[in-house]
Amino acid sequence: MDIQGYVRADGRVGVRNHVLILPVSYEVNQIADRIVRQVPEAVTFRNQHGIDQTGADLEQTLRVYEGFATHPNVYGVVILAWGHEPYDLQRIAAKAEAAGKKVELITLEQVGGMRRAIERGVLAAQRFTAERGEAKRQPVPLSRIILGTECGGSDACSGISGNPALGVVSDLLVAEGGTSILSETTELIGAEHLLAERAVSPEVAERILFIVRRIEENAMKMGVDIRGAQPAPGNIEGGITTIEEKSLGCIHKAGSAPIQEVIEYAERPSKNGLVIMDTPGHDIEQLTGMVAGGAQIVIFTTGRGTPTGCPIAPVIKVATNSFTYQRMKDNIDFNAGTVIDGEESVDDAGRRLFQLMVEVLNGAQTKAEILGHREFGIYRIGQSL
Amino acid sequence: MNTLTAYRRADGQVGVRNHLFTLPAVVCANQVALDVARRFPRLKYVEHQHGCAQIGADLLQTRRVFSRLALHPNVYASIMVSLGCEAVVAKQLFTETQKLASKPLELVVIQDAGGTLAAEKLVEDWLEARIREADALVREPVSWSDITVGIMADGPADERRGILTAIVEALAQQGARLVVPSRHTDALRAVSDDVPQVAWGDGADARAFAMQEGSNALETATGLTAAGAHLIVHLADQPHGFGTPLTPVVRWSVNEQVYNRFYDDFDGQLVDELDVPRLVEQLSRVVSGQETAAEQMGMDDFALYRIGPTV
Amino acid sequence: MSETHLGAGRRQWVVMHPNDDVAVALTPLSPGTTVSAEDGSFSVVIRQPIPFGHKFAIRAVAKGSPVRKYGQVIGGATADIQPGDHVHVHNVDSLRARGDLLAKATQEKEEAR
Repeated sequence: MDIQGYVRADGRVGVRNHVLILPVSYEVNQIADRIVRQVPEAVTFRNQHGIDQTGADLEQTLRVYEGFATHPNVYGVVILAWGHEPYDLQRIAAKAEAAGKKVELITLEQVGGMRRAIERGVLAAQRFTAERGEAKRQPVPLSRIILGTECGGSDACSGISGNPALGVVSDLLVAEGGTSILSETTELIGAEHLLAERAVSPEVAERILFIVRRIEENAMKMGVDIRGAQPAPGNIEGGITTIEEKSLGCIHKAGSAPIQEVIEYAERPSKNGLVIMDTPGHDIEQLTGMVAGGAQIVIFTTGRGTPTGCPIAPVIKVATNSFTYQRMKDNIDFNAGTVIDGEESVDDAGRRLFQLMVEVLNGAQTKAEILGHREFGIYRIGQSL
Repeated sequence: MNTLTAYRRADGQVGVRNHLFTLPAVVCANQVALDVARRFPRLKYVEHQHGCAQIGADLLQTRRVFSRLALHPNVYASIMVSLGCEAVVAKQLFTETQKLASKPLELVVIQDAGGTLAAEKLVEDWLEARIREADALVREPVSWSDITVGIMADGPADERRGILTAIVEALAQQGARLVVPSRHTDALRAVSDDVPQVAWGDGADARAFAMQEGSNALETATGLTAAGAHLIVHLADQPHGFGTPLTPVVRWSVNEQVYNRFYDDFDGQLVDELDVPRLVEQLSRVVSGQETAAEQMGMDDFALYRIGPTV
Repeated sequence: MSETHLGAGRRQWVVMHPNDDVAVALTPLSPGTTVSAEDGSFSVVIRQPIPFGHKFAIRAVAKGSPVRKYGQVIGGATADIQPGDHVHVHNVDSLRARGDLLAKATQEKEEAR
């Protein structure tokens, strides 16, 4: 099956054609903000990281920046920096250029102040916005698509309707040769044995068990019951009692395909098929990680209702029950509550959701895109414990 | 010396600004705050990535800081925006905060409102009424003893100790209350034998206290705001592009070359102790309403110091 | 795994797996309501109000025993659970990521030393 996508110079396929203003640290958020006010066609996000980071924590943050700067949904990128960040900005710019992006690197230090940085950024953003029409959609096989799967604000229906329907989409995409990412390692606690059984090799199985053990042990170091955060208060109100129960519902969104590999946060899958990315359960940190890892689209199931999106990738929101769908129609694209209502089977809902995904890949706007949602969050692993 | 003026609050505190503040209790509520702030430039807001998948001490610290920011004396009225299912439990946080509040406080829950657009409408309706009330208030004379100054500095603490001590002494002489990040505790010893140490973003019942600093300058500035600083003096040896939404950041360069290149991002230059009276003079004007460079740019940065992993 | 077919028309409840101790209410259920499986495998009378999406027991679970949903263990019973009981945080605890228990055990170990 083909979709209409943008084939980039590095061969990757985009489903959007964004001009991204990428602030690599909080020192340049305001500059990014002023640029998109003057060039509203461009996208950006608010960053609170990028300074005084070291080691694995810094590497992970840089993977996110590179993942965004080289993302196939991005046509051109204005990289904004302070100039005193402890890493090589030229490297990020060079990687984006190598990926065929239009690139402008602006540092506050070099241009001599915020006002000049804003002027330079506006000019670059205007230029990229004017030029991006040269990129045209063309038929490309669905196998080039990486889907990020996500569930947030889960309720008891998530494991009955929304997640199983998303599982159908994941299986259909994998059958087409595409890639699907399951993440939210915390929300695999109690279900990891089922996933390990589906691993393509003993090494992958061991890796699945390892990442779950690691995130569980890290959480336990805080000396409290994880209940209250996992499941969250809204999950509990919705009928989910324990993290195990939440996890067993969560993994339905990964369908039934074999698990090919386990990748790090914001890392690109090296294999097609179903893969697991090691992320926390936090919706936005997870979403940011999957998109940085190359997901061109995300499908996000929600029981309680969530409005969130991503600055550079379409996020399709799926309600797990009809009440939430009706109540938050401005924010939610698809109702899987039909399964609960007995109106259609999981399989039928999944196929309908697959069709919607294809439409969105071809350019149909999601609710989060229409409303301009730009949530962003990097999973930090360097906190003092 | 100029007469200081500020807004008197019902609880006896004073505010050097009269802000209206929207605080997303969770990352999922950012867009509501952002959208409303675009339509009402008068509104201060923060964008952040927290409030969910947090546990233990890390969650408690986040709740404490959210509460303290909503109650900040520079704020006339605050509105929290919650999604409704988050770990920070905004409804409970709001109720607890309200018990401490002597200012208008409101909570909007997106899931209850029926989505972001409906929530934005509720925030805007609330805001329009509060703007009228806030704008009816006038500044009154206050004294330095009503004012808490946060002081932070780039570079090695040793190198800054001399100049910081001079600033501390000058402000203490006026009667101001002082808070510094813990690395600059020594500078406070010039005016106080006993310097209490508090957690990041926490307050103290003392005229001079030190706060656990964040992992970067913005976290420290955010923490000083939550600790109760009315305004923040930032001695910088590099250009900076951040400012806090609720507190004026008064940024003076301690590096002449940096100042010469980036003077329009600074409020002044500090060469040595002889410049301290000029700084204090400027601070009194900022207290009384003069905008700093960061305020003129409308800077509204925020960062939480996290002490536990996201789960 | 995604074999769930709830059938035509709205159902009042669903059991996710034949080995489960609990069913999920798909509509609020009032005390006194009788819930019977089509295959006769269970019939229970609801004992407390069960909100939409919440669980009720379809068989007795003794305190300390595992509680199953999706055919898997979702936690341990912290009280004796009767058929028809609301099953939630008041009578089921998680068995995983219990930093509170770890901290308690560590503290007790230190005190014993």
